[in-house]
Amino acid sequence: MEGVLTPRDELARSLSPLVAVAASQDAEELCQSNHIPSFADFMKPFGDHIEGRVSPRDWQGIPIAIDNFNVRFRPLEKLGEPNHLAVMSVVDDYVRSRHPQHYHEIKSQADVNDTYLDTSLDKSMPWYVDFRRMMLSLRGMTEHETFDHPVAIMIVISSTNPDPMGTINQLYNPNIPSFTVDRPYVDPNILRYYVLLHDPHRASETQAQETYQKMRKTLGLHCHLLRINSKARPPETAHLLDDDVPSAELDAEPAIRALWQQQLAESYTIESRMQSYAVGATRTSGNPTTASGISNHSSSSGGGGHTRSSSVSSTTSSHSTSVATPLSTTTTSTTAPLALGNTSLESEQKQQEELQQKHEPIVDETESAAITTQYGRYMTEEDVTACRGMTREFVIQSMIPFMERNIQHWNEQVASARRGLTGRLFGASRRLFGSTTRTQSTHSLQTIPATGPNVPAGVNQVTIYPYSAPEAQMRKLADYAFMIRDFKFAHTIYDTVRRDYATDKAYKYHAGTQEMIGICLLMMNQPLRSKTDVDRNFELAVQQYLGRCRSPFQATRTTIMYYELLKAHRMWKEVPTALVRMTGEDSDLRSALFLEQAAHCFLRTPKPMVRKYAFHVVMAAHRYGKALQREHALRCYQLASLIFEDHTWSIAQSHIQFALGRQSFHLGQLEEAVSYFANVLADSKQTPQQQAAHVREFMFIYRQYTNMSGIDPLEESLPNLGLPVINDQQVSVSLSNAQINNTDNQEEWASMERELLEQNIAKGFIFGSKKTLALQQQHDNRVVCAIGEPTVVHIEVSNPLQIAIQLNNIILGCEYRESMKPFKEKRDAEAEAYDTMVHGTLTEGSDDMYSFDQYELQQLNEITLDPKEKRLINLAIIPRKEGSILVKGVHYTLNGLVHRFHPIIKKGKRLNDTPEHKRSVVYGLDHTLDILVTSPMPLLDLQFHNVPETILSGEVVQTVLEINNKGNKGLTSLRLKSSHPSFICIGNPEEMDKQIYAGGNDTKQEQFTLDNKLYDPSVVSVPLPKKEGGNDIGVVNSGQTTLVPLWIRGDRIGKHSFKFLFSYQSEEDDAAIAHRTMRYTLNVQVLPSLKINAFTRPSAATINEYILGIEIENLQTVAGFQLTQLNAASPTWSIVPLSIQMESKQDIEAKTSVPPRQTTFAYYKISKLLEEKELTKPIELNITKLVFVSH
Amino acid sequence: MSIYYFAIVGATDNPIYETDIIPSSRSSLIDNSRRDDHKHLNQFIVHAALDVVEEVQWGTQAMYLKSVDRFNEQYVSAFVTANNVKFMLLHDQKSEDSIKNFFNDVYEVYIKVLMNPFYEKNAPITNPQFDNRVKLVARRFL
Repeated sequence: MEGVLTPRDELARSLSPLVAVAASQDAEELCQSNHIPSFADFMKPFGDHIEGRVSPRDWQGIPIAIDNFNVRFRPLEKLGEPNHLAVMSVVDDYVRSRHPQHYHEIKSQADVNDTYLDTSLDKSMPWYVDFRRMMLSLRGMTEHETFDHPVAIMIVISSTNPDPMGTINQLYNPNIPSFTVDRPYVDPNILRYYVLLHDPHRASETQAQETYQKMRKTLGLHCHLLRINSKARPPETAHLLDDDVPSAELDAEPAIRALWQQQLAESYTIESRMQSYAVGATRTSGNPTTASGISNHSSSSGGGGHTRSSSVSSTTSSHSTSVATPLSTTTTSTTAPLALGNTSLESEQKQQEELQQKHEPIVDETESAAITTQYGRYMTEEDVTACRGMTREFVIQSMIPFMERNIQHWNEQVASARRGLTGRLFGASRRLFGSTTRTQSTHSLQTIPATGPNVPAGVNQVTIYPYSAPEAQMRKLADYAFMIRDFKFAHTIYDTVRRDYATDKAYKYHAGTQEMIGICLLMMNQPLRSKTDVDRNFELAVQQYLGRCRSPFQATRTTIMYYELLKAHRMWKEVPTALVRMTGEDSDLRSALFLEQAAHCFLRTPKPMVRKYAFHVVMAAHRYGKALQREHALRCYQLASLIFEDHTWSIAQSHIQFALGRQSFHLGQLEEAVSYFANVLADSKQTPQQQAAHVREFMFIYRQYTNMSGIDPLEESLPNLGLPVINDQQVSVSLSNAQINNTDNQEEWASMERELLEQNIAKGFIFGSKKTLALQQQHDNRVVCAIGEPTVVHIEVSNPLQIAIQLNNIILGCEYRESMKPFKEKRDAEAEAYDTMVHGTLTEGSDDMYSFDQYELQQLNEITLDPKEKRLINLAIIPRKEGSILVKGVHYTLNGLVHRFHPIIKKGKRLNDTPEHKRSVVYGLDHTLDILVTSPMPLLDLQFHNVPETILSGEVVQTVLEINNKGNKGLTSLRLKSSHPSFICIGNPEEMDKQIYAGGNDTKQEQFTLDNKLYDPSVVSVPLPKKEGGNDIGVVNSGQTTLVPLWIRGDRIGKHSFKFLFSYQSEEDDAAIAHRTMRYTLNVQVLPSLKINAFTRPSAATINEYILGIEIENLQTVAGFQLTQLNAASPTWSIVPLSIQMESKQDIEAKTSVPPRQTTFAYYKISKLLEEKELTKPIELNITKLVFVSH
Repeated sequence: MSIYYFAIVGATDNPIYETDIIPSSRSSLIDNSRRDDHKHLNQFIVHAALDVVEEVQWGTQAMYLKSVDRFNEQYVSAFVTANNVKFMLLHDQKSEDSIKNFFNDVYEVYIKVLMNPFYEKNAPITNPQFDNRVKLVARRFL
């Protein structure tokens, strides 16, 4: 039955006629023996559903068919308004007890699919349903609307009553009904309906009939005799009111029990909570009416304009201030939306624990109560039918005609006079000219002292219309019309009376009518004229409730109803604006609930607005957090984090992660908290203060976490700690002889290595079995290290934060294996990240080398990374055993507390061989961190001596290359490949003292013989001193040093960086390694010197003679040049100066010196050598030297 | 609190440039720590406004979409470029003309970044010159 109700019906039912119930003690007892606390509760299920169709007539007499009409029964003494704060605290408990079953993970628009949309909002968020039900059902009489004023009163006595008439008079005094005391706005003229409750087992039928007849005679037709059973069915054996007869037979029939079950269980829960709340409030503040006890609970305090300020006015609760103020100060400060509180976690935790003691959650209370209590225990099928019949009879024969009569009456007497032009004019004139009489008249505004628990602070009187005032009657008329669902008529009346309220400045009344106008517009079964009009009505209503009346509770209820109607109209876009309006600071829980609903409505718009959803979910989460609804906060933050997952909106992302961390921490989920915090740590965009806070809280939580779970933080690794940042691809391993800072241009080096290897093989330096070994070695590209040789791992760590961090106990994580083969298996970074700290024994004679079985590792005790610092740390390994050592990662401890193992996995080069490779991004394996440990090997160490930083173009400089073998074996077959072969010339060690420019003073001609063929000049052998007694291969023995001359010529102008790649072999063959290489870089700048132009022309004198003119320009600005020698190299030609007098020193001086920025010019004669020779190979060159000596 | 938050959002929804713009006349009045508290909020607001921009952009020919969204007292103005890159400005005072001029000038600067052959589309703009120019434009119009 409930399922088929539309939201519109649901709403109309919540605003259905209210029937007050006054029952005598003996009548209540009859119900109690059926385990139902009161007659009102007993009637509730029957009022909820009136069987069949009800057709009240509207003001014109046209019937309106209503299928699901209902009335609300409420005990006479409970007609007043409940304490709003108490209601909110009950809602709080309910929301807390609801846990999300599962939720849809929305990451992008594509996730808003049918499965999501088909799940109704109510189903996915049952806590909101609780909230809505609470807000709509827990209401009471207020001055500005009459929905909660009783339409009728049901006066109930039992047939066992000895004095029926006296009891009736006692129960209800029609002249001064108890509920109108202090409430002049409530109409006492209501329908009275008398019920005689009769249990045949308790009183005789005749007695009942007698009383009934007497009642009809004196009280009129609105009487009813209701028979119910209140005793066990075998009446002879059962005792009165006994619960402890254990008999299956005595159990209530499930169908009958179900009538009351849920409702009663719930109302019991609510009741007891409200009660306990009131008790708590009394205890804390000593003043139940103001209930400042929960002002420390964030729902009541805050910066909003419409909440009670801490300077409570003296009239109502002056003595409660002393309690309220110190508590409320803690929450008033958090006014900024989504502010990350800078209060530290420790203090927050304490504060929260105190608060949470107040909220024991509702744990299955409803169910346990329902199972134990046998509601309607002795009720029979007939009894239930009789009750239904009575309710229907009451509604159709008594209540509805009563309402119809009233509608007719008020419409004629009051409303028609005000409608239309004349009515309005009359109203205006009445207002204008009747002001003198108005003050005395009862038919206008009155002020009465404010009472009740919901009076805002500082207000001690309220403005009301007494029930007999035409404005009040108009409102009542409209409400009645609304109750019988004549929305159109109700709308016109509301609209008329609204004007009066506006001119009278009766804001609460005005807000109420605005609200009802909006509701009527949406309830009418016709298309909306304008959406904005409706929204305007509600906006005004909410604004006035909040601003003028300071009644956020009313505003909340308005918003709930508006939201329900919008949902029914599928106006999803209007929903968020309406809901967000009610997210002020006064109640975080309500705001959170509304924001969450708004968020989900964004997903239901025609084009799902995922990002809006995310934002509102975050705000909801924030509010849940402030309302201490931790689980809901966590859930909302999780939902939001899915959308911000991709790291691009980093500040937003880390805000969510940080909040998640805090919420999980508060919920005791320390492990999750740690990982959320770890995500946040490395965020570089935050401010330094924020980062410091992150680190501090992370440390605090991590310490707690490790204490709790018994983990040693210095041993176990925290896998996803992102501090500091280590770039895996930049990690490199090098031998101790390597030049530092020689890590760029890896590709170029690699290709040089390849070429050198090919040359070496081609030239026969590497042969036989060594050949394949060398090729394999080249292919693997591993670092080869001999036992005992220190190898250095370079790791670049950078601190992304703006605060300094400290790293302790940095040591490599390595793995040794016997095999010399490269490590081929796939490594799993996630699994490896859990590796625990390694401990070795300190090596003797060293302060930072720790010895393990197969190797020694260097451990750095402490480094501090300054803000934004990037630093290269070098960690040494000394292998002690042949095999392979894989550098798996690095262990370190952050800030002396958090140990972490960072696995280092490098990608090899991008593969591009097969079509599959080309289509996708595939990387090869990388072996550079897999160190191959071999038996002792020679180890080349190099030093260049006398290398100038700058040389002149064309200048030749002799440098000395110092070759040092640091290894334990002899070094042989040293080969060199250079990147600039035309600059480099290597001589024999014996040629150390050779002059750069041969010749000196002797001018005689020389002859050279050269091989005239092509070869690769970039690869040369470096001659090594011959070993005495050995073969002709040069060897540098272990520990020895040899010097080799090396000439550098400035071949081209510019800055050059020469790359020297040396390869060498051991004098003994090794199974694992063919050769070793070493890289060396040298930077030289070549400066410009001379510019030379030359030309020739045939001699006029003889054949076979040419004139050569040489023009030399000095490009230097400061230095002068002196020509000292001119050589001509040719097989057939020789040269003689023409314009220079070789005898005259002055002439030579003048012609051969070139001052800065000057040019000299000289002619030479080229003549053919006398003997004509055959051109042969190899070519013989004649060198002609002209030596200009100018001393 | 009168500061502007300006973000360029790439076509793939990632912020490619973000900056806080403080009008020089008021810089002294603004409390620094308070601004920092709002950093993430700015991102949230602008990120959420993208949904509205995507709706509005198809309804107009203009690149400047005026004020598309608001949160409490803050407005979000948007400008959509030809390749669906969005300029988002969070501001608390309505002044359509100056914002329009601001967007147009920033667009010009942005186009210059785009013309750089080494700049990848939708990649974060780290060019300090761009940053300076945007701030210059902001100083002129905001």
